[in-house]
Amino acid sequence: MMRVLVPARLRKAVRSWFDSRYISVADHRQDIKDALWEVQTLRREVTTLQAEVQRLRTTPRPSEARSEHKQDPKAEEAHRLAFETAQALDRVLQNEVLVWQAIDELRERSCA
Amino acid sequence: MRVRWNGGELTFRLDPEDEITGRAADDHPVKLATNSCEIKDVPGDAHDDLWAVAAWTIVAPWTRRRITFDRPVSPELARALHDGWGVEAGPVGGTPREAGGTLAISYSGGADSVAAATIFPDAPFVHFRRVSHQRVPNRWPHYRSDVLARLAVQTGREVTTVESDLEFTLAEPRPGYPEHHAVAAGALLLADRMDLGGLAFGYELGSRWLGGDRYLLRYTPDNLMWAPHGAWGRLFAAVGVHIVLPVGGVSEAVTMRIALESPLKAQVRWCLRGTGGPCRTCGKCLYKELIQAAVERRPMDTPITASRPVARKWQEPPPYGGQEMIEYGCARIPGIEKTPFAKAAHYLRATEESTAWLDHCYRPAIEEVPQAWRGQVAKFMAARVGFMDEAQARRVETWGA
Repeated sequence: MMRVLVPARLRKAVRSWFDSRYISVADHRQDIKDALWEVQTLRREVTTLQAEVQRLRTTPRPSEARSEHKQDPKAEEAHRLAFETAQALDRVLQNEVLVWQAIDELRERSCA
Repeated sequence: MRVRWNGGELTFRLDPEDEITGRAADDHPVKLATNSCEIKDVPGDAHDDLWAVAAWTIVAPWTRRRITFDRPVSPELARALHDGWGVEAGPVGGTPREAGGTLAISYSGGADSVAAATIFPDAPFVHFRRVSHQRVPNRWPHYRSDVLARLAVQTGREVTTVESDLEFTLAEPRPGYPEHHAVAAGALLLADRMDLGGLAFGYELGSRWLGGDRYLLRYTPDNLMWAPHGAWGRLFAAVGVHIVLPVGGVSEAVTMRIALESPLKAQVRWCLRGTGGPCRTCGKCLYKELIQAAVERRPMDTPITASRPVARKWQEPPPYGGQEMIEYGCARIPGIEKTPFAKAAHYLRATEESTAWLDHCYRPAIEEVPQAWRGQVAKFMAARVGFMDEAQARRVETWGA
């Protein structure tokens, strides 16, 4: 091995050139700390999001149509009316069957 | 009950003893919505008895004592109605229809009918498609019969799609077949054209032998709806269209496996709601996912949680409809305790051993298949499924006991 005497000034210049190109130990420590902090924040966020997903899953989802109606009273009214009309029509159709049943019975009786 | 056909349009009138609330074959009360319906594009020259049976599949729940058809029915058909339901049918005349040579498949597109279709790769399909009724507002537009009809065509098989609004004659519980057999109304009217001698359905072990559906937990060798010697079996036989259940001896786990290994795999669809695929959120999707996950031995993949209404019944103690399959699934799915079936699994305490019988074929189901098609079913089951041993068959025969 050979040792060469390097003038102090040159040595310092070379060292500071190297130092300027590399990150100091202290900075590294800080970076690692920052990264850790970042990971922990993300972990908390993921936990919050998971809880949110769970909450959304368990709360009954109102159908889109219904929530739209909520916003528009006219649409809500139309929906109610259509629903009730259809239900009423069910009864009308059933009554029609019963009316024909009665008519046929009367007809048969009058024939006899 | 008096029925009249005008082309494919059926109208009917109640006799004095008939009522709006009737009973289906399984004794379930059903309410009549209206007294007309249509089966589209059916030939006008079908045998008189075929018109009668097609009408009977629709009006049976509301007929108490007698039925008057608009054309004569053969004495054999009148006898089948009398023996099966205690109903006097008339006018009587003519000769019964001879059975044809073709077996068609009543194809819905679900795993069970795909399995039936896989056993008979050359059989033509008859697909029932719901369309809206002229007089009944359709409040059930989520039922995507158009999607199912498209998938049926995509199978590449010979498909006859029969469009009908007959399900809207039923008001309560909701529109649907007044009798399960109404799905075959169109196929019956096409029977002469297609030379039908049999019609195959996807009804499996659960429906045929274990009660199934609205029946709960009982061994049903004399199943009124599906046994060849039951009322419906004899009625269909009287018009030469035998009810054939190719998968009547195997559970839904087996039909699922057959369907997923079938050339028709891409067209399998049990969900009535989804458009681009199964909706994953309906009760049917949940039940079938349980079976599929069990067959594929993987955790369940479902967005449904125990608190959703579709999962409510699985939070209660048994009995359940299709309980044998719930047991099968609970015994096999890893992580079942994290699914909506956790409670059911806890109640049922099923094991792979206690549910192993559901992986094999119940032999008496093969003997019920009419002779012309029995060999093909038997060969398929022997090669692809295997038969139950005596102890396993006893599990079927003591079901619910």
